[in-house]
Amino acid sequence: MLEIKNLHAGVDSKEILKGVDLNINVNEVHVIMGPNGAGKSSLSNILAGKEGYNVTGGHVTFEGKNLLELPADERALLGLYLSFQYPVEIPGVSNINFFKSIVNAHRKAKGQDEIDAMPFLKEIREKAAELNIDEQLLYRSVNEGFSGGEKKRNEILQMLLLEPKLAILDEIDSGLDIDALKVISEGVNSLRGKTSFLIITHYKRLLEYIKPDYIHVLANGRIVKSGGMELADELEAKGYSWLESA
Amino acid sequence: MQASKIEFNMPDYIKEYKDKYKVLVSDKGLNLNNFEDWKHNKLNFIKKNKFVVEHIESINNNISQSKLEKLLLPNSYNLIFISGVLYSVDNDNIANKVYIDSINNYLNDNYFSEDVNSVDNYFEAINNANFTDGYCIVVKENISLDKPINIIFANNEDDTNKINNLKNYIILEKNSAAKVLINYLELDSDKDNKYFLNNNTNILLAENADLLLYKMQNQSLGAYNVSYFNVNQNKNSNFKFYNFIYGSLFSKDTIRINLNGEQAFCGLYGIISANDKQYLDVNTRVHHNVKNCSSFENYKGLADDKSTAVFNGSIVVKEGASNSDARMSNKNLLLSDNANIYTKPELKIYNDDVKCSHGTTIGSLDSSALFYLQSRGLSYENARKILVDAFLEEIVNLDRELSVEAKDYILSNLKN
Repeated sequence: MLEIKNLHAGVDSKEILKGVDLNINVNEVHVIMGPNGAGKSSLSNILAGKEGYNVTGGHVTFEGKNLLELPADERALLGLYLSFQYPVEIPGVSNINFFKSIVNAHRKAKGQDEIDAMPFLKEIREKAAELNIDEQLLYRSVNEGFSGGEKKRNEILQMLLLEPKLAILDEIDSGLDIDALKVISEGVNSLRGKTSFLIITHYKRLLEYIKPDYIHVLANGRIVKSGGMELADELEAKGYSWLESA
Repeated sequence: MQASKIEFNMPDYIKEYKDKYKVLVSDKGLNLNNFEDWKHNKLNFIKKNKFVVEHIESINNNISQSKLEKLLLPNSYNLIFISGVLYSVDNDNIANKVYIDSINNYLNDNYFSEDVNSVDNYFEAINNANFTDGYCIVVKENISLDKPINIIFANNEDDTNKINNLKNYIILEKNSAAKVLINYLELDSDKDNKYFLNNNTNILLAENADLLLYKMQNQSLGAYNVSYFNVNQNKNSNFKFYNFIYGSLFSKDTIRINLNGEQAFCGLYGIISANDKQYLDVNTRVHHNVKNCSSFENYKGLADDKSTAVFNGSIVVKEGASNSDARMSNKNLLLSDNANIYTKPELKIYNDDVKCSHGTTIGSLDSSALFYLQSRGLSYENARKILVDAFLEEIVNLDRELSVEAKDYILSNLKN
């Protein structure tokens, strides 16, 4: 479903990704770990279509399409979803109206009618409750005044509403306490079978709740090693330096 | 409602008044460079475009009734002006509450006796010399008007290359209250008719009077507009003015407020939304002439394409005006690389015991917010609209005192 081949990209004259190769198939959960500055967030931003990056080599195919040629909104409508590491606040735009707009945009792209207000409200309330999101937050402006944990849960709530084909979770676990971690993991796991995942994280802890199929280490702009859970254990014991020299 | 052109005979004292100003106008000539508040404007447009002052004798009777009826706001007192002349007015059986009619029918020489030299403004002088019509509203003492007054100034092709000079009065007597809506629009919205509208409105609020005023300016993109609002407020009066400027090629509003009695309050709110090659300008001047008054201004400006939006806000607190509270906020969004925004707050404070503040910003749309919305599948245009709506929301979310009906009417009359 997602094929990244020899991707080279950077900002201005600095190259950040130096030949990334990655394949994600349907129903797979991939995890990327790696030292800070390796390019993990850059990778997720480039996949999502954020401006400011130069792609200097390689290509990315998503659902058979050349992903890098499409603007951000079309990538989302194809089924790509990015849960941001630092979700931005948007004052003046109500959370609930925002959800309605994005769900309707996806429905329109699939040739469906706009969603009915009442059942939709019910669906939002139920999913918010499952994520322990205070109902009040639904009526506030998007992410405005939300704590770090609330922002991350808001990202997962949107993901549950949109049911993407591929969800990229950029450090979804940073700043979360155990309870929030559990609740978010349940949300993610509820989509297994429908959604593939590319999860960026630093810590093994998340992987105890969301069992990955593959773990990759991104270091110095490339994926230098791939493996299963045993790789996570090895990283926890040894850190990254043994890989960086590889 | 009878729809027919109103006939009028101009009283002699009005004729004399106008003659005094005709002399003044010819002396003053066209040199607008002397006027500070016109600095940003391209002043050649009058000469270049050759607008003609013409007294309209008759209105084209081919205007469709159904078209006009769509303009009306239900449950209100509607006045329609076409090409600057009063065409119809709902004023049956209301004389005990309010006087609503053409200014030519309001015989009160008090308002036409001002000293010619007190006008230092070219356009006001032209207006005084040449006004043909306008509305006069007098709300009687102790009356809280049950329905809003809805005034429509409609223009069409017949106005091409003409100047319409309109002189208007809104007078609220002691303890009275009213809501007034003013709409500028085109009868044929698909044409860019070129004409000049010179509009002068005097507002007098007696003690305890309460006026809520909305102005929706949605004229053709060929129209030129100069508006003066002179407001004098007495003790304990309240004036709230929502000003929405979307149309016309060139528009300059000057809003002068004199707080002359203690405990008076004025709130000036507005949206200046410029596109294409528009030049839209608002100048507010709030004078705290006595103590214990408060004023509040919140204007938002948008400029896109190659347009220009201008806001100049001046506040003067006189020496004796202690305990004055004057706040001004002007936030602006630049939506394109070639758009221009000028903003200038000006505070002249001659008393120590006051609370005054001003805040002006010019920015562009938050690119991370734009990307966030697009990453969820919203197109760039859609995302932009959502952010612009959020920016304007606090002003568009109109005063609670207005009925839902009137709100819908206002929002549908605005371009956006």
